[in-house]
Amino acid sequence: MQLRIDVLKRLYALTDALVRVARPEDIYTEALSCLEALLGTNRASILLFDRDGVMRFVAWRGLSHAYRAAVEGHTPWARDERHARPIVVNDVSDAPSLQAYSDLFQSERIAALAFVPLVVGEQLIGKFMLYYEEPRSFGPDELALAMSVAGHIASAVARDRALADTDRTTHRLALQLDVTRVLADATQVDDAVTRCLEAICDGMGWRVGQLWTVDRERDCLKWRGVWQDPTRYAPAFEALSRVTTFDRGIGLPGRVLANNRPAWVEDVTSDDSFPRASVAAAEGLRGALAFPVRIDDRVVGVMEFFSGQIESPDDELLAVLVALGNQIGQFVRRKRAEVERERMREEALSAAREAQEAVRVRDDFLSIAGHELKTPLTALDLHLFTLDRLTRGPLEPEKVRKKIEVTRRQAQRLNTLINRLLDVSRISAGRLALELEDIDLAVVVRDVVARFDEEAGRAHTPVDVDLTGTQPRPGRWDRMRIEQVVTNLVSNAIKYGDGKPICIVTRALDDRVQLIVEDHGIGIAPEHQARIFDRFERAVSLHNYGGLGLGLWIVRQIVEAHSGTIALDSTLGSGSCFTVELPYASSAVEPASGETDGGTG
Amino acid sequence: MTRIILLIEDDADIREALADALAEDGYQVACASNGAEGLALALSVRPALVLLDLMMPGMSGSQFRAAQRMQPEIAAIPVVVLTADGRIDDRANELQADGKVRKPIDYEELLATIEALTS
Repeated sequence: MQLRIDVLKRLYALTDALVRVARPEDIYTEALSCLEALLGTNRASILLFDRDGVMRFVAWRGLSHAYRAAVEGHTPWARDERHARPIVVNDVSDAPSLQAYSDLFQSERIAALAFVPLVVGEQLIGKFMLYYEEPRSFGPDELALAMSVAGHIASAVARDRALADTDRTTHRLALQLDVTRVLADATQVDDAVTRCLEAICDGMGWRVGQLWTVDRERDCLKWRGVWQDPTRYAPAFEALSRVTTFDRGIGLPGRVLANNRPAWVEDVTSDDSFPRASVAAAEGLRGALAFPVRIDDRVVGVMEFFSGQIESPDDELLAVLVALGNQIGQFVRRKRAEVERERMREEALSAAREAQEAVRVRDDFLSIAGHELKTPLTALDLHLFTLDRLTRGPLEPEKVRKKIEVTRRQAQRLNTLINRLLDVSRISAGRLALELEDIDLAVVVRDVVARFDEEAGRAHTPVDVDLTGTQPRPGRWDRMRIEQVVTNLVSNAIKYGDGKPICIVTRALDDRVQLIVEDHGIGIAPEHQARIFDRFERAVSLHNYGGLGLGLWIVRQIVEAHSGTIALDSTLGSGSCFTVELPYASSAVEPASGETDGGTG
Repeated sequence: MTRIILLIEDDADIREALADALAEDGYQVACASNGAEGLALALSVRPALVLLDLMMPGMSGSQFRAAQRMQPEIAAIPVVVLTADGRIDDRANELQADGKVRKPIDYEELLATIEALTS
C-alpha cells in the first residue's frame, strides 16, 4: 500500500512536470528521473523516430557512446505498427532475437531490459528503454506503470512537436509578411534585396544571405549583394563570394540556376559540390539553402543562405522561400519597368526640349536673317527711288552713275547674305566640297584687304598688314573658301574694332601657316568665347549689332574642313585676336574629277 | 525756315539714300551712325524730328530714346522709328515713339509721316 501511494505521488509529479516544462530536453530529463525512481533502475533512455524513420537517441542515462552507436536504429516494432505493446526481456542471455548484441550487453553490463512504445493516437513515435544489471522479472504493476509513464512522455513530445509546428508556421508567416513589407516599401532594387536577405536571415536565425544575379551574356551567376548577422560576421566567406562567379550547374547557386529548383545542403563542409567549403568551414558556416529568383519562370537570380549549424532539410520552409523568390522576381520586374518608363519619359522630354530649342534657334535665325536681308533691300529700294526721281529732272549723269554703283553694291550685299545662308544649309547637310588648288595665303590676304579699303575708311579704321612672316609658299586649299575666311575675320575686326587700328599678320610654321587678325575693339567676354563659333551665336545682343551670327561658325567649318584650327584670344573691352592655322597640305578630299568635269562625253 | 531732321541709322547706304531724298524734298538732314552720336547732334542742332533706327552698334535706338526723354531740352522732339523688326508696333509702343515706318521703307509714307509731325 505504501508503494502505491509513492507511485501515485511520483506519477503526479511527472504529470505536473510535463505540463510545466517547455523544452523537450527538460521533458526527457524529468521522464528519465521519474522512471528511475519508480521502476528501480538508474539506467534508461528515450528514442524517437527521426524524419527518415530511424530510431535515434534523444535522452539517456548510464549508457556508453559505443553502446548507443551500436544499437541506434534498432527497433522491435515496425514504424507503422499500430498496436505496439511493451516487450520485456527478463534475461538477455535467454533472448535469441538479441543474440547479436550479447557481447555488447556484457560489456555494458545489461542483463535485463524493457522496450516500452511511445504512441500518440495510434502512431508509434519512439520508445523508452529500461536497463537492469541483474536478470529480473517485471510484475504487471510495473508494466502498467511503465505504460502510463510512456503515455505521458508521448503526449509531452506530441505537444512539443505541435507547438514547434505552430511556431514554425507562425515564423514562416512572419517571414513572408516581413519580405512583403520590405518589397512594398522599397524604391531601389538593391536596397530591397539587402533588406529581404536580412528579413529572411532574421526569420530563420541564419547568419549569411547573398544574392547572385544572372549574367545573360556569359550564362553565369555574379555576386550582387549580401546581408550578414553582424554579431557573427564571416568576412573571408563574403570576400571570396564577391569575386566568385558560378557557371550554370557549378556550386550551390549554379545548381539552382541549372535546375530552376531550390536546393538544401545540410552541411556545406561535407558537400563535394560546394567549392567554397573550406572558407565556409573556417568561419563556422554549415547548413545552406538556395532558391531561384524568377521572372516569368525564368531564373534571373539566386538567393543563398547559410546557417551556423548543420540544418536538416525543411521542405515547407523551402516552399515558403520559393514563393518569396517569385515575389522578389515580380518586384524586380516591376521596378525595371518603372525605371524603363522613367527613362523613356526623360528621353521624350529631352527630345521635346531639343526640338523646342531647335525651333527657337531657327525662329531667331529667321528673324535675324529677315532683318539682315531687309537692310540692303531698304538701301537698294531707297536708291532706286532717288534714281527714279533723277530720271524726271534734268540729266545729271555723274549723280546717276553714283546711284547705280551704290545700288549694285546693295545687290552684292544681298548676294553675299544669301550665299551665306546657302553655305549654312550646305555645311549642315555635310556637303561642303572643297576645290583644292595651289594658293598663296599672303596674296589672298592682300586682295581681301584691298577690297575692304573703302569700308575701313568709312569706319575710320586703320588696317595694318604684315605679310613678311611668310615666304611665297602655296598651300593646297579652296581659294573661294579661304577668301571667305579672311573676309569674315577682317569684316568682323572692322565691325567690332571700335575704329581702332586692326592688325593682320601671316606667319610660316613648319608644316602650316598662321593667319592672325587682331582688333582693339569691344572684345568678347570670357563666358561667350566658347560659343562664339556656334551657329546663330553672337556675343553681343541682337539689338546692338546686326549680322546673322553665322560668320564665325562658317569660318570654323571651312578651317576645319581644311584640317586647320581657329583660336580666339580676347579681353572684354580691349580687343579680340583670332588665330587661324592651316596645314599646307590638308587631308581634305578633293572632289573626284568626274564630278567637276560633268558630262564630257 | 528749313526744318532739320536728325537721321540716326548705322547702315551708311541707307543713311546716304535717305539724306539725299529728304534734302531734295527741302529738309536739312543731320546724320548719325549710332545713338550716342545722335544724342550729341540732337542737343546741338535741336532737330524738328528724329528718324531712329533700332538695331545699331554702340548706343541702340531704344537706349537713345531713353536718354532723349531724360534731357528736357530735347525730350519733346518727335521720334519716328525705322525698323525691319516684324513686331514694329510693339517696338514703337515700347519706345513711345510718335511714328513708325517699316523697312524696306515706303518713301512716300515716310514723307507723309514726317510732314504730319513737323507742320
